[in-house]
Amino acid sequence: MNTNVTYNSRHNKVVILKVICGIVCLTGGCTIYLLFRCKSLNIYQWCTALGLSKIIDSLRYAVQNWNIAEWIRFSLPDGLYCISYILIMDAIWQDDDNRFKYVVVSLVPAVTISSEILQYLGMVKGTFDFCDLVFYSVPFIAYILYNYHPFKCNNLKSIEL
Amino acid sequence: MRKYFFTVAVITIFAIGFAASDESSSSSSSTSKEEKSQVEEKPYFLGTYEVRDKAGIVYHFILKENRQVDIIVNPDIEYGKHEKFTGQWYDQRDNGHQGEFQVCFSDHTRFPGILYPNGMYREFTAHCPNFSGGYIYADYEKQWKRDVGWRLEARKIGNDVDTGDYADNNSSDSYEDSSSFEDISDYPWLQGHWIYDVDISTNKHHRIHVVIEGNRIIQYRNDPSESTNPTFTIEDGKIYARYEQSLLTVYIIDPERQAISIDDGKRWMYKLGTDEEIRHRVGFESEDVFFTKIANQLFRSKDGNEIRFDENRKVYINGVYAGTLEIETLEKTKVIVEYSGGECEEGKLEISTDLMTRNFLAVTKIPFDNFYDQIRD
Repeated sequence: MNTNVTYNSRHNKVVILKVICGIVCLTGGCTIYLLFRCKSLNIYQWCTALGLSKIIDSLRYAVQNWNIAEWIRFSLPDGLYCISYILIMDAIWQDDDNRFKYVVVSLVPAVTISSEILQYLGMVKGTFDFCDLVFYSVPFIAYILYNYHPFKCNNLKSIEL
Repeated sequence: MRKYFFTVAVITIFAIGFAASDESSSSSSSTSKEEKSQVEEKPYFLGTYEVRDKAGIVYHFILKENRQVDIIVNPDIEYGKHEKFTGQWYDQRDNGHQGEFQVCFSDHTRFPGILYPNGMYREFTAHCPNFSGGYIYADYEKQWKRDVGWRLEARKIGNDVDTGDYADNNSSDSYEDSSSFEDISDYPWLQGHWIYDVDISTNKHHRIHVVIEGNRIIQYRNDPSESTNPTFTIEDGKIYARYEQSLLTVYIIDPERQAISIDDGKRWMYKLGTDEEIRHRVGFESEDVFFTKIANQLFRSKDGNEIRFDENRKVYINGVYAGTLEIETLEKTKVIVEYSGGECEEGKLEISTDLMTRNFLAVTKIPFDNFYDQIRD
């Protein structure tokens, strides 16, 4: 009984931690978009519609002289978006270890990575960028490697039980 | 069941998030790369822009590839006189500011501007997304305050970026000859350091220094570090000096009295002397003269550090004995000294007597990381 209580408590903590990390990553990506990218993006328009333009403009004014590396401005938000999706989806399917879980978790990374590859092949409109591909792929590969790692949490969990 | 609900919800949120990163007026899904390639490709705003300031001076801004920009002042061939400044433009879209760019010059002055379409300034500053370019606006406040100061609007007059038609004068000290204008060499006695006092208010008065060196004018008010180099022409016995903020000052030359009036004969400048005369008065003629001049002098940098010299050729930095001075090079207006043997790390100082400041010394730590001004008694 105690073991189950400990497991549930730990399980909940892991889920909450994953969701929080996912939200933080998503917020970070949105912040980069809002502060360092064109104002013509939808996210900015939506924030303007919500009456946040003054706050965003003052923040943009404050950071206007920051020399942000191109990969931070253009590729990091994509990576954070991908990480965020993986973490949140993995949290939702924390209890499961079946193929469906991996299909669901892989959905966004697969779409973004394949879109990038198809851009390289000229089959999809857009410009291929290797940095973007790296930022999309690394979190996904890391996730797969982690889940196939012999010492992953789930294995430990089953040993404890 | 809850899992499926959350899964659908999260996928929906991320799909919306994907749409959020798209441009509002575009159906493309690869915004970041298009935005990036837009920066990397030849910018659409390259070309020649023309602007006329309040004083009627015409400027041509020629924005070229490789971030090069030329600004031609008075490009009108009829007048035959123009200056050319070169610098670099920085596309502020690199930092996510649509349409904004800055022109930076070698003296670190910046010239911010915004590209916006004709008659769209208000809409553009209200974040009009459908901006297409075509005009530049320049804020002479040199800072990003959008709704203060006065602005110039530059009209794009062509996509040509060839400056071959313009003589490469490279700075304000070069002028072409023109029969419609007099040359400064016609008035050799103008050369030198002139001063006059102005009353800004009842209890404040300022001393204006006007230094005419060769074919350039340097002007400053009280503090020589804040000098300006107006462009000028001489016409009908008058010097028309145009300043950065396009302020026009007219000085009247009196060749008979060899004097310059600042107020149509009501007030006159006082000539301190020519460079050579001042140099003779204040220069470092010998090592002894130099050490006598710096003995017991205290210098303070803007960040509060102090350099003090004593009569025994010793230097103290912030009160700490830094070493004994040894002269490395001695020129009439500039001396480089080494100090060593003290409690500080050994180093070099450049001590100069600026002609503009007359008997006022300036000390610079080498490698030029700190500038110390002499404290006046």
